[in-house]
Formats: sequence, structure tokens, C-alpha cells
Amino acid sequence: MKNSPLSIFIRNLFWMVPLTISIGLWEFTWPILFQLVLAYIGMIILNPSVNRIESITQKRGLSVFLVLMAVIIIFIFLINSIWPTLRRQMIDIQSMLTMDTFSNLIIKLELISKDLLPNYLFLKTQAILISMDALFSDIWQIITTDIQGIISKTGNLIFAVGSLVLSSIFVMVFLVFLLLDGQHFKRVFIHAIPNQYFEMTVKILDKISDSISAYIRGQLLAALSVGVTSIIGLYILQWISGINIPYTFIIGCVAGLSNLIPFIGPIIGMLTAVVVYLVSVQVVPVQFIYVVSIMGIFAIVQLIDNLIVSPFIISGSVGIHPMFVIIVVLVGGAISGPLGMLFAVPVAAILKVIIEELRWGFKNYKFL
Amino acid sequence: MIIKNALWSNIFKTDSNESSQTILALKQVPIFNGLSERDFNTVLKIVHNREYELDEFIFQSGTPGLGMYIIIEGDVVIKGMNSEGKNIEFARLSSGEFFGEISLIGEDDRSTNAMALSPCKLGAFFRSDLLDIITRSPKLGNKILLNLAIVLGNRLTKTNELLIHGEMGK
Repeated sequence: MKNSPLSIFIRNLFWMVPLTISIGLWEFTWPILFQLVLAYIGMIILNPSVNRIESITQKRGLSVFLVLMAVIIIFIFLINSIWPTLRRQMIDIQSMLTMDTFSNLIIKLELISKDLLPNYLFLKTQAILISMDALFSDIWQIITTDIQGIISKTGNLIFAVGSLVLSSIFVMVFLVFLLLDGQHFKRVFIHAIPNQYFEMTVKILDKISDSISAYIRGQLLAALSVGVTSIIGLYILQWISGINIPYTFIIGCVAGLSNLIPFIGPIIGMLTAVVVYLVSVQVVPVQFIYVVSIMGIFAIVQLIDNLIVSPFIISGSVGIHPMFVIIVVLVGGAISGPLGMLFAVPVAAILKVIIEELRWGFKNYKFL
Repeated sequence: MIIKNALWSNIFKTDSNESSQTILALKQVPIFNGLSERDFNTVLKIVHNREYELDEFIFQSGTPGLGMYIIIEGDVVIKGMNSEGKNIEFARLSSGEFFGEISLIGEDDRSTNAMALSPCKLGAFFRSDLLDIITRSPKLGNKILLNLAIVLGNRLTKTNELLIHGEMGK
């Protein structure tokens, strides 16, 4: 019998066995799974370009080769042009994360509040700052340890197996196979599904893959736009006002990446720029107006993102309630620290899409 | 000299007999008229091969329509409700014939049930597959779309004729 439980079980062994092994030996398999996820994201980004070139060349293999060559050339160009600056800024920022910098920040904050507030309010603020000094320094210590941890561990996380070069090769190989045979893998999986659920599975897989692709592409495009516009905005502000905001590239990266977290993300980027401005050596005296200007730059960045970039992104947002975002970010943070906080919302958004599509499928195909 | 390893060649071989059977069935479908051998191989890679048992539903009315089925082997019956609410048989189809092609264009729910009248092999060609072909191979996509338009146009003409001759009410 083709649809007997035994037959269905045997037909599905090809994915159930690897999945069981992956979960059972999680400790050893997660780096490979992580590389697979990176390759999958790569496929989502590159697939439209490969399809476009394939429509001209009519050869999938050649199209994949041409796109990957272009990616490698751009990657080499970026490594040569931006990486040295970024690396230097990362090392500088690591050495800057000390308690002296914290004292400097408190002094600057006092200066600004003295400028801004009437005397009696300033004295109150100063008293509050002094009374909360221990608390603030604890927070600072936690943040700096986390940031240093991220900088030193990001490499380990991305390239958990062996060296950077070896892992890049693995990701590249997975990417090539996914670009060449992604559709075939999907068909093999669908083939194992019982007839009863066949159409529903095809529809759900299509919808999930469309939604996830649109979401990931949208988020990456928004992150890139926020990152680049932040860097440009900060450069323009420095040029006009003469203030010094170092580590512009790092701030751009932080603003872009933290943009993955709705509501909270844009504030993180802005605060990073403000703190960096306050703790750096300035020729022009520190004034509140410059802090407001930096905030204004990030407001403009968000405005550009929301008015110009986002309308071009289909399904860029998956509509998660702000309260749920905060819960998810906290859970992500509890599981794997700041990086968990960063990726918690995208993971939750993808899970939400999967659950919604499954519910839609079961309801419309009358299984619910 | 190439020495073939029987075990591995059996594990990794594609069922060429099944493929040629599917291509033969595809060649009888007007939607694939005028396609080259290479085009047929492209379509073959996309079509889902399914096997159904006697009396098994292929699709049911009211479910979202995904695309068409091509009968490679066996018989299929298309049933549905008429205007009086009676369950009637619309058509009996056999190998080389196809059904569900309207779903290649619209996203409407299925209006009929399709059921296997005998154990049968079907090839499923869905809207998402057609869109994929249009993106990756516009020339082939256009050929299929034009054929699909001709098939649907012919059906419309026949329906008009039936309406004019009052056959619909009988």
C-alpha cells in the first residue's frame, strides 16, 4: 500500500534520519547547520540575479558561476578597501571600552546638563548621576564586556568549523549546490509527502519560501540602507559642524545591524553615535545642540528608510507587536547574549510566517 | 575503460523508463505544443510525479487551485455539483489528457473534485512552476503561456457555442 503508515514512514526517512542525527549530536552539527543557514541566506540574496542571467544565457551552471565570480570580485574589492579601516576601528573601540571612558562620559553628561538645565535642576541631576554612579558603572561594565565578547567571538560564531578560509569554502560549496539544485531538493522533499497533503505542502512551502525570502531580502536591504545613510549623515554632520565622531564605519554597522530589531534598533544606533561623540576628544566644545544634531541625523536616516527604501520592500515587515518584540529580544538575550538579542526578532518573524502559513494551509485544505 | 558499479548506478540512476513515459504524456498535452526536446527536459525536471490509488482524491472542490495534472497512466473522473445541487460526473479522462489547467492562471478555489478511477500516475504542473519557467526561461514560458491561452480560448468558444445552441440547460 502506497499510503500505509509504514510506506509513508520509509519515504520520509531521508529527511527524518539527518534531522534526528542533527538534533541528537547538536554540539557537533550546529556549526554545519549554521553554515547551511548562511548558504541559504546567500541563495535568497543571489537567486534573483542567477535567474535573470539564466534568462539570457539559458544555462543555470554558467549563470551561477558568473554571479559567484561577481560576488567574489566585489568581496575582494571590499576587503581591500573597507576592511582595513573597519578592522582598525574595531581594535580602537575595543581599547576604548574602559572605565576611564565611562568617567569621561559622565563628565560630558554633566557638562551638557549644566549647559542645558537651570542651576537647581542641574544640581538635582548631578546628585542623581552621583547616586546612580555604581549602577551606571555596572551597566557600562556589562555592555563593554558584551561588546568586547561580540567583537572577539563573532568570527568564531560565523566560522565555527576550522579556519575562516575552510569555512568560507564550505559555505560557498553549499551555496553552489543550493543555487544549482535548490528546486530539486524541494521536489525530493515534496515527493515523500502523502497524496492527501501534497497540494497543501506545495502551496505552504511556496508561500513560506516567498515570505521568508521577501523578509530576509527586505531586512538586509533596510540594514544596508540604514548603515550607509548613517555613515553619510555622520560625515556630513562632522563636515558642517566640525565635531569629531570617530568609528563612523562601526557606528554605521551597529545602526544597520540593530535595525533588524524593530522599535528598539534605531535607538541603539543613535545612542551608539551619541556615546561615541561624548567620549571622544573634541576640538569644538561639547554642546547639547550637537547631541540633538546626531539624533536628528538618525531621525532622517529612519525617515529615508521608511519613506524611500521600505516602500520598495515587499513584506518587509511581518507585523510583530512591540510588546512581543521586547519579550523576544529579552529571551534572545537570555539564550545567547547580545547576538541572541540581535537575531531573536528575525528568527521569531520567520517562525511567525511558518506558523501562519501552516495554519492557512490546514484551514484552506480543510484539515482544521 | 569505464567499469560501472551496479550498486551505485542503481542508487543514483534516474528512472529513465518513467521519464520517457512522462515525456510521452507531456507531448500529448496541447499546452506543451511546439516545445523542443530540450524544453521538454526542462519541463520534466519541474513536473511532480505522483501515484494515486483507486478512488483516491487528487483534489477536492473548495480547496485552493494550484495548477494542472497530466494523466501519464490510468483514468480520472471529474465530479461536481450542478446548478440543482446534484453530484454529477463532468468528465472521464485517460492517459495523455489533462485537467485543472485554469488554476495555472487564477488563484480561485477548485470548483470540482478529481478522483482516480484506477491506480494512476499523474504529472503535476503548478502555477509556481510556470512562474519559475517564465523567470528563468522567458522564451519557453511564453510558448507555454500562448498555448495555454489557445486552450482556454478554444474552451471559451465551445462554451459560447453550447450557450448559443441552448445545450447548457439540457
